Amino acid sequence: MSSRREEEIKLEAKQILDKFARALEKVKAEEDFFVERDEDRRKESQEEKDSDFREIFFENAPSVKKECIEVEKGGWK
Amino acid sequence: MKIKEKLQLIKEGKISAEQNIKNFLDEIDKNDKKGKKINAILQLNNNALLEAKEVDSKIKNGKAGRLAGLAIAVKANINVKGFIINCASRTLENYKAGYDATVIKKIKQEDGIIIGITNMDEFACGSSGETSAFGPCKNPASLNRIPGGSSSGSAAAVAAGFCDLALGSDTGGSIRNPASHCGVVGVKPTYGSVSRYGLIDLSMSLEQIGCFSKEIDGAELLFEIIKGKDEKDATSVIFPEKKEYTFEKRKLKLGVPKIKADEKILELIKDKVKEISNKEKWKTEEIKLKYIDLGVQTYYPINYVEFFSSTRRYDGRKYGKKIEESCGDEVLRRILGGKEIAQAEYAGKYYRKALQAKRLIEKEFDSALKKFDCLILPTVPKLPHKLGEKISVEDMYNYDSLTVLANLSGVPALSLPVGKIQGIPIGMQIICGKFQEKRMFYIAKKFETLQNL
Repeated sequence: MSSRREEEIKLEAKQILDKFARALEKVKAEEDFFVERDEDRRKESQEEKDSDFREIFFENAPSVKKECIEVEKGGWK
Repeated sequence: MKIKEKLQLIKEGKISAEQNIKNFLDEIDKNDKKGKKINAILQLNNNALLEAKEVDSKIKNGKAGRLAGLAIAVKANINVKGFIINCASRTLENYKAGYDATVIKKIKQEDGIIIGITNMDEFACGSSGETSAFGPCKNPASLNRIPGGSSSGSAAAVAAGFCDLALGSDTGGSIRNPASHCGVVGVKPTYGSVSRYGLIDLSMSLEQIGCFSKEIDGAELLFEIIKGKDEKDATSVIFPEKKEYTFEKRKLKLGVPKIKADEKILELIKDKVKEISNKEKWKTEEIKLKYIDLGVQTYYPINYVEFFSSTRRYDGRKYGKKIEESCGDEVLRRILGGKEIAQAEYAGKYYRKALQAKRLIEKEFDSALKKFDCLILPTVPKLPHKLGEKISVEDMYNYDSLTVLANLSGVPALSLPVGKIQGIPIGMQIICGKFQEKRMFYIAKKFETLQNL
């Protein structure tokens, strides 16, 4: 996608959101939208680990070296 | 054939699971990429017949589950181990799922057979079924019209007879909208009632995995199996069950909110409501909801920000490609828009304001659903446009104006086909209070009997 088209899409998004924001301006509300939860973290279960998950995970990676996913090698250079 | 009837015949060995699957595979072969070219299925399960044979053995030994032998299609944003789960995007074009989503585990435990992965709008960002990177899906009920979205393939697969049941996801109407256009039943459960573990999220505070069927019984069966608290999803809750449901013993009260929509659609819904209230002696009342016209304006800022956040993982490092370099226009729009308004300087103007409005809509719906057994609305405010027709982004978003309300409120809602206009199916929404799915299905079945389905 060209950067010009990207700018157009970004502008379009902002215009739509500005229109929506104007419609919501008249909304007066208390800020009580906090949701109480008994638990807020996922429990990592004790069930057996899937033996082929690791293999599939590495299959999905664009670049693998030995037992690591290689990303942006020397990207700081 | 009704689902219950089919299950009974499979259990008794009068139809084999293998034959059931084979029939669907033949139909898919005939009409998905050839024939009517629905393009509902992105990937078939090459082991489906083998799995069906295994289920047949279990049936012979009297050990089969509640979905034994049924073919279930799954939307391409729900992880099914070993399948390409690409969210209909080039970003995840070759992404293989390393695990089963919790809902998939549950289906497999009950001997349902995953027949294939269905087409959708890219990353669930859409309401038409046209934005898939792998070609648009067609509407089997009206071939030159959109099937709706984003769960386009799942709705189309059920409508076209490619499977018994299907899974989709609904963030702002993505199950109910295509259900309406394709003339099938689509259910969005109460937020938190179905685990989202394994769902590739669009907007995590709004979405739920739900189901499609040609009939209410089928949708209810699948919902009963996939629901439940999951330790892997902290937002899931224990579904409260009662021993007795009093709504079956009394005359119900239906609320019909005043809304803007196509006149013919409103007339059709009005006729159905009148018909049911005459038949069942239920009361109906037209009501005004103050915030009902702010659904889209509230939904999209939240959707954009949460989607921007959820797409940061697609950086092309661990898997897939960098999303900004490989996605379509609507996905990019939501990312760039979400990134913009998520900035600190805009905090009070967009996202926070939308959260406040969401809370007001939720309170208003909770209050209305205490007075009424359900609210009745059309699923979509207008007829589906023709495939390929250019419509503005805002017009596209407006398809969601009547469905986003249930997502913003967290309440369950379903779409049930109630007739046709110009040969195009029209769906009616039944919305109930949180965790009142039993009531919702009960009411829906009463409406269903009017259709003699």
